[in-house]
Amino acid sequence: MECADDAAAQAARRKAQMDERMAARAAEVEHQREVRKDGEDRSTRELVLAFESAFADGLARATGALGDALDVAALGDVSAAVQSLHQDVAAASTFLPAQTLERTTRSLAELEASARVKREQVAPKKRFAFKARDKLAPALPPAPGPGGAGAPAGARGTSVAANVAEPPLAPPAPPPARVPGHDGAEVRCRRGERLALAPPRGSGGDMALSELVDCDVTLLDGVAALWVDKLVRCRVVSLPIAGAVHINRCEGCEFHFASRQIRVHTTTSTDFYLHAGSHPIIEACTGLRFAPYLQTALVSDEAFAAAGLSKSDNLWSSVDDFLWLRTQQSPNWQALPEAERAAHDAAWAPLAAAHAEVSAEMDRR
Amino acid sequence: MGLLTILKKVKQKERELRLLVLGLDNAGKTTIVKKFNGEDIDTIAPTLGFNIKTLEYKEYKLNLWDIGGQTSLRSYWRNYFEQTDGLIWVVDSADKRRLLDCKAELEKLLVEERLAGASLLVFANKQDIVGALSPEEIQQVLGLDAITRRHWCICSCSAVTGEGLVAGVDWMVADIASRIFLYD
Repeated sequence: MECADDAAAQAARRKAQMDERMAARAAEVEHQREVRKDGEDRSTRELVLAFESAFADGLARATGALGDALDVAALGDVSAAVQSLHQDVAAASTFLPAQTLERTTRSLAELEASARVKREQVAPKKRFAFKARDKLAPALPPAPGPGGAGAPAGARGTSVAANVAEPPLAPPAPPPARVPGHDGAEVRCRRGERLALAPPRGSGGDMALSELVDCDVTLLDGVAALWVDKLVRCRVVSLPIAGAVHINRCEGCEFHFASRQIRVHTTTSTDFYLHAGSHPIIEACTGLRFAPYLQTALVSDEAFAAAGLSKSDNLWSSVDDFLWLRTQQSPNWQALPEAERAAHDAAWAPLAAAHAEVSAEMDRR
Repeated sequence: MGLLTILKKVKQKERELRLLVLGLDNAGKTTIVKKFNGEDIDTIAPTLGFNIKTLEYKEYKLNLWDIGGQTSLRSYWRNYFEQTDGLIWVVDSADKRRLLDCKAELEKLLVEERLAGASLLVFANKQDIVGALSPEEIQQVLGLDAITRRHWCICSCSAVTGEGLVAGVDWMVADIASRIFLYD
């Protein structure tokens, strides 16, 4: 009997073991099913958690560094850290929940704001930099349609690429590019002359001066765009110009211009008397001096208005030097001291003479 | 946060188009962008650096990157090439003197690997000026017909009057959409 009892007990034990194993197995299967079911969710959640803790660390480090920062270099490190945090956020933006994303962005923005404050304290002015702020928040209000919905005048060529060969790495054979002739007035290669010029009627007001030496040039009404190239020791006096003025490769000249945009390139030792509607810019220039356009009765308010200029807004001194991206004054230009400015009479004499001539001409006719 | 959400996010992102606006200085890049956005264009100074505009157009979000065109800034253009869907090349149609410069700069861009996939829209700007070249002439001088490996289009426009801008941007958006969005 003992034997039978033993056997029964053993069987019961085995059954219990078996049940236990079955239960364990069922639980495991269930668990696996669960894992499989929300594997996506789970991995995302893990990613989010990992990101959040990494981000919190980074933020704390950057904040600490900002608190300790005493000079510009240290602040630079802080902003580099902020940049890398920004990159992390951008990289994680595909899986982060909107709420987290917003929170991280906000705390980064706060950090940046305090970094700006700190920077102002440490170094009074910021140097020029491409600001991360622009990248972060370019979201402007959605624009309405543009002004003037014009017809699609003009040619529309659409060429669809197929299986064509190599890109033209070396341009194939010098192009027979025929640039249509300039139909504006162009005055070039003169020496020691006095010129009073106006663009021919119906030319669009495009006017060019090039390769003049020791000339005294007066530009009368109607110039819409002026191109000045390679002038040496010349004086150019102009009535207000409606478009832009480009000055290139000049030396030792004196220019009197009123225009919406003034661009100066590769020019040395030249004085400018400007009425500028926007910041004049200089690039690769040295020894430039700027002064305001001389006021004279010869230039009427109407002439200013016709060129789209306001007589009261003159930005002659807000010169942007494209090769000097610092807050300090560029060494390439300076304001012309008042004592050294040209006398009104001397500057405007040619214009007055030209005006007199024109009116005499009119009288004769 | 399931797979569907992720997919939705990606799709939302796809609705964004990144357009790079380049051209020589004084071509009118900033004026075009501002006019298109309905802003004041009277006091635009030559761009020192760059401007970014994000604007909703039709059902797309356009990120317009307007980079300064001065000689000293052109070497920075390449910093903006990455992930560009469309290149808008702005030409001053009245500036005949520098049309060959313009051609050379454009050619430099077109061989750029990172811009290989971008559609090209050439704006023949400043058509309001008497004596401006026609788009056909510009097409010829720039040698656009030799471009066979990308979608391109030349449109005449005037940033001052706003004429032609919509037509150009329409072409650009439609072209990019047909190229990269499967569900259109």
